[in-house]
Amino acid sequence: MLNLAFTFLVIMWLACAVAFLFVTKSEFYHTFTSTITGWQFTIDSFRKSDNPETKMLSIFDNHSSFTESIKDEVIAYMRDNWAEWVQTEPAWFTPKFISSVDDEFIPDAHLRQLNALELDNQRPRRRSSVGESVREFIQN
Amino acid sequence: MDMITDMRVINSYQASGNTSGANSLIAMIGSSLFVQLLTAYGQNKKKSKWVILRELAFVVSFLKPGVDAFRVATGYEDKDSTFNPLVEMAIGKGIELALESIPGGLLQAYIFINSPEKTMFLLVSILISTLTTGFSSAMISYDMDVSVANRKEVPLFYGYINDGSTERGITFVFLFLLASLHNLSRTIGTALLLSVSKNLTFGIILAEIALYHLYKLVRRDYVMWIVGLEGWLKYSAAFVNHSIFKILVDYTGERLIRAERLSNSNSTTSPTFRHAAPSRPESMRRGFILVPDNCESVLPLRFAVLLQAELNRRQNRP
Repeated sequence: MLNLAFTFLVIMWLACAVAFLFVTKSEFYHTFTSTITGWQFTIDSFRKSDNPETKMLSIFDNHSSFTESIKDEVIAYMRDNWAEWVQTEPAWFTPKFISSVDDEFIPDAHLRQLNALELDNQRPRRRSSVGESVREFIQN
Repeated sequence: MDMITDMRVINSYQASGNTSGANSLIAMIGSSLFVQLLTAYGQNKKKSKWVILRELAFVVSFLKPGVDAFRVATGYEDKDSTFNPLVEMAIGKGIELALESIPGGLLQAYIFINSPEKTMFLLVSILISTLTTGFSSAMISYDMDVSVANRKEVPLFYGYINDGSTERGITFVFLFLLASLHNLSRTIGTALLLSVSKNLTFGIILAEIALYHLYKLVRRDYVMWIVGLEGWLKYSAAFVNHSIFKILVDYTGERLIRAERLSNSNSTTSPTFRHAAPSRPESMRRGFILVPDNCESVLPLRFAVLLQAELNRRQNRP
C-alpha cells in the first residue's frame, strides 16, 4: 500500500513539475536552480539594470550590508544622476525615498539644500526604518 | 475550512481520550494566533489604538486572510503600515503555514498511522490540511510573481508566470498541485519516520535546520533584507526567519521563497525548485538557497517505507 502511494505521488509530482515548466517562461528557469545569494542578487540588480528606479530600490530597499562592497560605485552613480532626478522628478523620486537615503550617498550641495529645507520645516529629514520600529516595539 | 476541520479533529481526539494529540493541535493553533497578533501589532503600531484593536480582532476572528486578500485586490495603501498589503498577506499565510497547517497535518498523519481506529473523517481532515497548505503556498508564490510592483522592482526574478489569464490559471493549478503533493509526501514520510523512531526523526529535522543555518552563514547570506535591523535583532530575526522558511520550503516547496522579502532578500521562491530563502516584503528580491527540491520531496517517504519494511522484517523474524 505504501509503495503504491509512493509511486503515485512520484508520478504525479513529476508530471506536475514538467507541466509547470511547460506553462512558465523559459527565461526564468535559471531562477529555480540558481545558487545566487540575496546580496549577490541585489548587486546584480544594481549593475545589470538600466532603470534608475530598479537600481535605487535594489540599494535602499535592502539591508545596507548587502551592498556594502559596492558602496563607492553607488555613491559615484548617485552623484552623477542626483541633479537630473531633482530636475525631472521621476515618479519614484519621492520624499519618502529621499528620506531613506543616507547622507553619504547624496551630493554635498544637494545635501545642504535638503538640510536647509528641514530647518525651515522643523522636522527631521529621515523617516524611521523598520528596524527602528521593531526595536521600539520590543522596548515598549 | 482548515480551522473548522481542526476544531472537529480536536473534539474527536478529546472524545477518544487522546488528550495529548488534542492539546498539541491547540498549542499549534494558539502559537500561530499569537505570532499573527504580534505581527498585526507591529504592522499597525504607528496607528491609533482603535485601528490596532480592529486589526487584532480580525486575527482573533480568523477574518484576517479575507481582509488581507481584499486589501491586496483593491490596491489598498497606508503610509503608516510597516509592510505593504501584499507582503502582509504573504507573512500571515507563511506564519499560519509554518506554525499551524504543516505541524498540524503532520500530527494528524502520525496519529492516523498509529491509531487502531482509522476513520474516514481523520483521513479526510489530513487531505484537507494538505490541500489548504498547498493552496496557501501557491497563493503566496502566485501573488508575489504577478505583482506589478515586484516585476518592476525585481525584473530579473519575478515574471516566470505568463501574462494571459488562461496561462495564469493553469500555472496556479500546477503550483497548487505541486505544493500539495510535496506536502503530502513529506508529511507521510515524516509521520512514518516518527512512528519508527521519534529521536531519529527529530534528530534529522534538527540536523537539516542546523545545516541550513550553517550554509547561510558560510555563504555570508544570513542577514535579512529588512532595512535598519542591527545588533542582536539582526541575527535573532534572521534565525527565526530562516527556521520558518526552512519549514515552509521543506513541506511545501514554496517557490516564492526564491523571494527574499519573505525570507532573506527581496525575491520570491518558486515552488518546487526554488527553495529556502530569507524573505522580504514589497519588492521581494531574493536570497534563496537551492535545494534539489524535486528529489527532496519524495525521499522522506521512500526512506520511511524502507525503514518500515525493515522494522516489519525484524518483527517477523523468529
